[in-house]
Amino acid sequence: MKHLIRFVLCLSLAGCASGEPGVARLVARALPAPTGVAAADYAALRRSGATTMIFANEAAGTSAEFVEVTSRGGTQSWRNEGNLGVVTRDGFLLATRGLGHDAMAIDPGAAVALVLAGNSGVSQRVHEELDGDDHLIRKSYACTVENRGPRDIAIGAHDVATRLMAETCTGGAGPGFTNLYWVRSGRVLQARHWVSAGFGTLAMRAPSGRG
Amino acid sequence: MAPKQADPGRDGTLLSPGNDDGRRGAGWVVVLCAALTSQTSGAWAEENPGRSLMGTPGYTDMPSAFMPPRDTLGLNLSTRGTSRQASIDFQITDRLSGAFRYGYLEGQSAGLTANYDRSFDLRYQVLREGRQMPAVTLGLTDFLGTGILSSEYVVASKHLGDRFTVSGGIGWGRLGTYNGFTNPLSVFSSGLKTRKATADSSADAGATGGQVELDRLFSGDAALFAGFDWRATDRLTLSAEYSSDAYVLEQSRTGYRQKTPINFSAKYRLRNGDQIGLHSFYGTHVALSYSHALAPGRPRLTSGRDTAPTPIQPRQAVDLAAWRGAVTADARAADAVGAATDLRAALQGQGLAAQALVVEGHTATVTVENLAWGASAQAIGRTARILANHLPPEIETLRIRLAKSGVEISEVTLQRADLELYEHQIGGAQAMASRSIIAEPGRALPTLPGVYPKARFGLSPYLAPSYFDPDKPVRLDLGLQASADYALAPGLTLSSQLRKRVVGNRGPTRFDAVSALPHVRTDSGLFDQCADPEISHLTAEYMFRPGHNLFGRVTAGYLERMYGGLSAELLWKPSDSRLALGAELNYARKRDYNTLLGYDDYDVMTGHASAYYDFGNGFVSRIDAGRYLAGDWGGTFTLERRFNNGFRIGAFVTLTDVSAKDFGEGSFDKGIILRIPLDWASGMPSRNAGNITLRPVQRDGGARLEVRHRLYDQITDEQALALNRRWGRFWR
Repeated sequence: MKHLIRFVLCLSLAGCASGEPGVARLVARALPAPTGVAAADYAALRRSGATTMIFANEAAGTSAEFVEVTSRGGTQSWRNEGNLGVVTRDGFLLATRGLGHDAMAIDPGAAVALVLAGNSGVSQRVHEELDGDDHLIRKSYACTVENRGPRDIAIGAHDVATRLMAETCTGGAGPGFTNLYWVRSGRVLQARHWVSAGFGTLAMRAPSGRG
Repeated sequence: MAPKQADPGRDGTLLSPGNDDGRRGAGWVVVLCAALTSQTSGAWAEENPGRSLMGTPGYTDMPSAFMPPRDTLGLNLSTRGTSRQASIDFQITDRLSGAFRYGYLEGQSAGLTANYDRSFDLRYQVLREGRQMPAVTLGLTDFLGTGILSSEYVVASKHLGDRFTVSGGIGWGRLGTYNGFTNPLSVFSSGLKTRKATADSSADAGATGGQVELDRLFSGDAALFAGFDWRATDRLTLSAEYSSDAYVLEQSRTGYRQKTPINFSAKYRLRNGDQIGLHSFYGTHVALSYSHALAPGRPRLTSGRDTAPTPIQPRQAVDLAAWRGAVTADARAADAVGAATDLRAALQGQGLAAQALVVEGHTATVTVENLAWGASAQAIGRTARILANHLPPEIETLRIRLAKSGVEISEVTLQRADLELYEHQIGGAQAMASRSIIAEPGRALPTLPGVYPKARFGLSPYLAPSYFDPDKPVRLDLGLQASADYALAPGLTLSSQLRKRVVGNRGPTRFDAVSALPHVRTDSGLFDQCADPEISHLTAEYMFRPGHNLFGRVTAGYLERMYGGLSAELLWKPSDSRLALGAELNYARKRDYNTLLGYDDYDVMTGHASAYYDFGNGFVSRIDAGRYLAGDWGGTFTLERRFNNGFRIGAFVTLTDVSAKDFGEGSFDKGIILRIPLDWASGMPSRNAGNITLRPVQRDGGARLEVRHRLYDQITDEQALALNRRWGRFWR
């Protein structure tokens, strides 16, 4: 974000750079400020009582409420007021959009069944990422799922008893990562999802009242 | 390139008068902003070898044989005493690199105290480093000319463990001046024993530089050099070298004193990968260097900050929302109008201008113009999802046509069920690619009501630099520009732009008036100074499809700031063809810089036949042959590295029947091209880019008309080759 601000500041100080006359202005008009339409959509969904979820960028220490815009065949698409997107299924992260270094698609593999059932075991997960030159890079990870035992977590004003499941993965030519899932009755109430090396970790928590 | 004296009596000019307009000018802003904000990953920065004062991998003055990783773009600055230089280099392949350097060299020219010098380098790694074998690189420094920097070398370098490197080599020219010995190559030809004097030192007033003088390469005395460095910490590298450059000219002209041929340097790598160097050389001087390396293939944000696409709704939900489950034909028809309006608004909200929509049976065809997304594959993906969320449930096949200026360029056919199946799947983009068909569009669809006419107005500041005037190496204008575009029908657009300078110092230089040719470009400074306000262009333009795989363009009016007239172009480019062939014919008349609307009395028929070839490995070449603005005949060869993400870096040379003497400084036209997409630099969606054409010298020979919207770059991004290359962004 700091870079973006520096960049925008730099451009605005120096005047507008445009490669195709007219297009910049047109796009500026065609694409309402990211919060424009999205904010209206978001507000409307929020009012209509759509399901919400809190997602947090752990590295930046920021968080935002997301509303469910679509649920299709069990796959939930979330977005926030700033029109960032997150896709989950059974509390597992499937994709992100707009985080700078997005997970374009994730297949969490057998970890889903292990985590929801509270079983330990091994699994494989696959991530697809963009490399900056518009190639999709596929990374495979070998993971171990383990039950770390009961944990109480705060959901709203209440403490809720959950079981903490950890999925520790290596591979993908990186240092590896650990995803955490706080599960109660076969539902993920809270989680830490690894997105990509460039972004880091996305934390997820159901808002109060869903425990 | 030969260093040239700032002497108008000679036939050289040192200025590249900006025939670059503000769009190009803005390019520098993008470059600077990109340079300031781009950050390189640690691992990649590690692979970048330390650089010398010359900007090339090396020690203080001496080169090493190491190469930066392929596709690295280096920006280097150095200052020693009263001399300064800036260079830009690009690692073209794993083994080949090229550099362009601009320097201010105090006292380097006979009889004058300062001069500005531009030079080109090439380096080729003959042997790659192995476990036992050192890397061996052959280098030509300042090879296009007779300059005082010119040298050739062969150097071998080896890593010793993780922390040490050692290099040794033999140099000719400048690198053969300290402890030089008879050229060992003279066993092959005794002519190599002596190096022809440079134009500079022999005061050969007729020399124009710019020529590759093959008989000078590897001639004259040779000398040995060596270098050694030690990575003391992860950040700090210390080095020592034995230099074979005696600084002959500097010693005689500026009082340089060489106490020792041993130079030392300390280089510190900043956290962002930039390198700062402090050098001591000849025991008498201190120098500073700074290098920044960019990886055009790795922007700081790999997937950008583009907002989230619209997720696909379940089909029955779409049915209920837009079509209320209507079953009768009448009810459907009534809903269709509202649904089409919603669809257009939804597309517009994503920067996709809908121009046509036809629903027939189970197929819907829509024509959109991508105004927002750098990758048109991403525009296809977004259009497809919006269609899936708005079309009646019985529609199974989606045909999306991409238009440019209202002209349909290509058509992508997708199955709605595939979209629903692969939206969130690993391999989903690949599956969509293999199940989609990209083809030539059929007959143009009727446009939706209200699309035409379409007017756009704009008012913005502009920045227009020009470079390399020896009196003021960078000149700058800042002002306001107003533009209006009026699209009457698909392909037919009236457009204009007016500029008013607010502050600036662009204008003619002392050297502009000296040209043996009609002043087709050297008058540019007069336009800078006198044409204020200026009509940058005022045109009627028609783009059309004259046939299958064919594209046409006709433009009339003030085509650019210096010329008006008529321009017609035809291009053959099948959607998936690597080869494209084109022809362009222009009648150009020079405009009068003293009046807003008048013409000068110079006119010319100019035009080219062009062949473009996309090698498929990131390189695109182009050959233009024809007649140039000054009436000269010849050809231009252009080679560009085009990254999928829109970043381009290239070089061109133009040779025409104008003699080197008549051409003047530089002998022939040449330069480098940079295109930096705004979305690459900022991570925000945009189709805009900063474009820079950097010529060491702008003369009148080999000059081309700068007509807007030449077809190749208008259409190729919407065609199959580009769509497939950027298909990874389909679901983005």
